[in-house]
Amino acid sequence: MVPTILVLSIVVFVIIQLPPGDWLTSYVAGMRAAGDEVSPERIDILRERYGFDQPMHVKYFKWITGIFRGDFGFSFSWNKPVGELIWSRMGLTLLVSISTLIFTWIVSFAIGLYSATHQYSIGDYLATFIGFIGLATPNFMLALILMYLSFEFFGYSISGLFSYEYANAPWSIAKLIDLLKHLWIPIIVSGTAGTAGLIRILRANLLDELGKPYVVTAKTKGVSNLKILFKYPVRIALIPFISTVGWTFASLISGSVITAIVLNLPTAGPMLLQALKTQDMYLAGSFIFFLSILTVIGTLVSDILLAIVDPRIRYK
Amino acid sequence: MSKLLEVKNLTVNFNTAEGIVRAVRGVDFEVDKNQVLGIVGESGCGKSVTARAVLNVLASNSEIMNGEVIYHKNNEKIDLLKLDKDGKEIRKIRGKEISMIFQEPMTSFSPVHTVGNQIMEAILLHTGLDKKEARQRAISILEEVGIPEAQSRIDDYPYQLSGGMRQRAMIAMALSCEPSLLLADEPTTALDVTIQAQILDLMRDMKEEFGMSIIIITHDIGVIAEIADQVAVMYLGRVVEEASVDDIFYDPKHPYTRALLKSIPKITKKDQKEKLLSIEGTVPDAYNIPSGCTFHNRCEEYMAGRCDKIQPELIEISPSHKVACLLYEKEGD
Ligand SMILES: Nc1ncnc2c1ncn2[C@@H]1O[C@H](COP(=O)(O)OP(=O)(O)OP(=O)(O)O)[C@@H](O)[C@H]1O
Ligand SMILES: [Mg+2]
Repeated sequence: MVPTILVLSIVVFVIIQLPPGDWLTSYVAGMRAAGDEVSPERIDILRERYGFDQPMHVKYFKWITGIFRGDFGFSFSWNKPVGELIWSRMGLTLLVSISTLIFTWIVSFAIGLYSATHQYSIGDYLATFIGFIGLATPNFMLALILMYLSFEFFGYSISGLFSYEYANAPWSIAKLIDLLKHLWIPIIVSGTAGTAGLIRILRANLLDELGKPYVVTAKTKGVSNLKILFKYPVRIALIPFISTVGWTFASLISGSVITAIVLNLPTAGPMLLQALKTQDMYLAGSFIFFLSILTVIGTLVSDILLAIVDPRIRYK
Repeated sequence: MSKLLEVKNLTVNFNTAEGIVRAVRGVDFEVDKNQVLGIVGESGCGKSVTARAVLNVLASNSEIMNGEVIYHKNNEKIDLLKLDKDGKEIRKIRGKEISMIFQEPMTSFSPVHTVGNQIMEAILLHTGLDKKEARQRAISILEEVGIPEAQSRIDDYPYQLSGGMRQRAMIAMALSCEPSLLLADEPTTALDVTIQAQILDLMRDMKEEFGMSIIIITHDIGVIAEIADQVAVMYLGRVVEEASVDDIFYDPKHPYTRALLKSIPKITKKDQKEKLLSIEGTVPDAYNIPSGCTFHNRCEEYMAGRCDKIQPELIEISPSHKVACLLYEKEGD
């Protein structure tokens, strides 16, 4: 895992170095355009700190060791150290992503289970229908619809994660409640497609498993249907379910950029997009690096869960 | 001898997208206590469906149209098909009074639970034993069916056992609650020849030891010769002949039974693994059952105008020898 992350960091660094020019030049140019003169000493300090006149590997080395010391570099477009910018964004991103993941799992598990055990019933058709609509509706569209409905019928705006008065306030119970009031929209918006997909997967897996001989064996032992369902097929049907955690997680984070922009969420996506557009390399690099680490962690977690659920993996 | 199980006029259909499959069409047979009944017939003739119907664990697209499955429990007679198929009463019979083993021990065990877990499940369900005692019982039954180092093998997953060992474990699981009847659906078909013989020996030993009855299903008439006392020959969803194993081999009446026997040259040779494929013509499919006697299009003694019109009933032609063939029915019936 550590080697994976190191390799990732190199790849990330190379990518953010690719565009021509360096941000120091653009920084100085930007300041000048705004009528500010940057002192030559300050330029020298910055050049020395980030190794701008040195070869790539030195720059990389300065960057990565900085990260281990908690220094993520400097964001020229915000004129602040990156460290000050990303934590709240990353925290809120994690919050939204994890709640979405949990929502996705619970809803798709319940509906998938129902669909499979009531195959071809009205409920099953309904779930299938809604599922396909969920898959086919673009997230941003859903976001716009929900925003419109909420404003039209409940009279409050649901964009963002906080109301205006709480956005910059310190944490408190009231702020938390305010957050929860806003959170459900991005959860539904970015979770629907995933939920619909997982319902299909779970339903298909379960139907497959329910027809397997070991289910008949359990029946002939006198085990009740409900117990059979949860002890055997559900557990086996969960295997492909769990292996999706790794990438679902990553795609939740990266895939929610448009949603986040439409909903005006203070999460990582929009800031990352902005940073990429303005070549704010240290800001972009830190985000990409963190998101990669999260993906690696997601994959690791799903591997561990898989090994718990499926002994065949454990012994191989 | 006293009866243990009577199956009368069992009729099972399947509803499929292509139409109705009449898989079992009025099957009758009986099993006595401590007896081995062999059911033999070509692939697709309804043997497995019959066995699964006894415990009412058929696929969800099935429909039991007719029939009784009467189980004699001490002095009580219970019609298993009258019980709610998901209810408590039948679940007390499944696994405890009547248990079942299958052709493919690999897929018949859950791949993600240990063998011990799956054996103990039945024990915990049907006996008052606690977990520790159930484990002891599982170990001793595994030893009984000849699994070496049962103490540690009990914690193995099915894929860690060899095919023969898995089938032994399957038998152990079926016998763990000392049932009165074991339904064995092609228990040796997936195994190689030497292992087949061992498993049949084991089943015979277990039958003696537990004093149970066995219904063994096979398309291998060699297996019948090995183990059965009584034989029912099935063709396209019906029993066409039922007799003692000696009568079947030395005095077969039905043209189909004779053809079956002719299709394997050396029935006395043990461990013969020969499939019954060399009878003239092909088996009609279960969607389009021929009229009259369903065997008439392949029969060597086909009587035009009779066999294709009249469906013969299973009649007793001598004590404990029944056959369904117009050759043995009086003309003009
Ligand atoms: N769930 C089902 N749906 C539709 N048809 C079925 C179903 N189960 C069995 N059948 C049909 O019923 C008939 C009898 O099947 P069965 O499995 O009892 O045959 P068998 O005698 O056990 O054959 P084999 O030797 O191949 O195991 C076959 O034509 C089969 O296609
Ligand atoms: Mg079969």
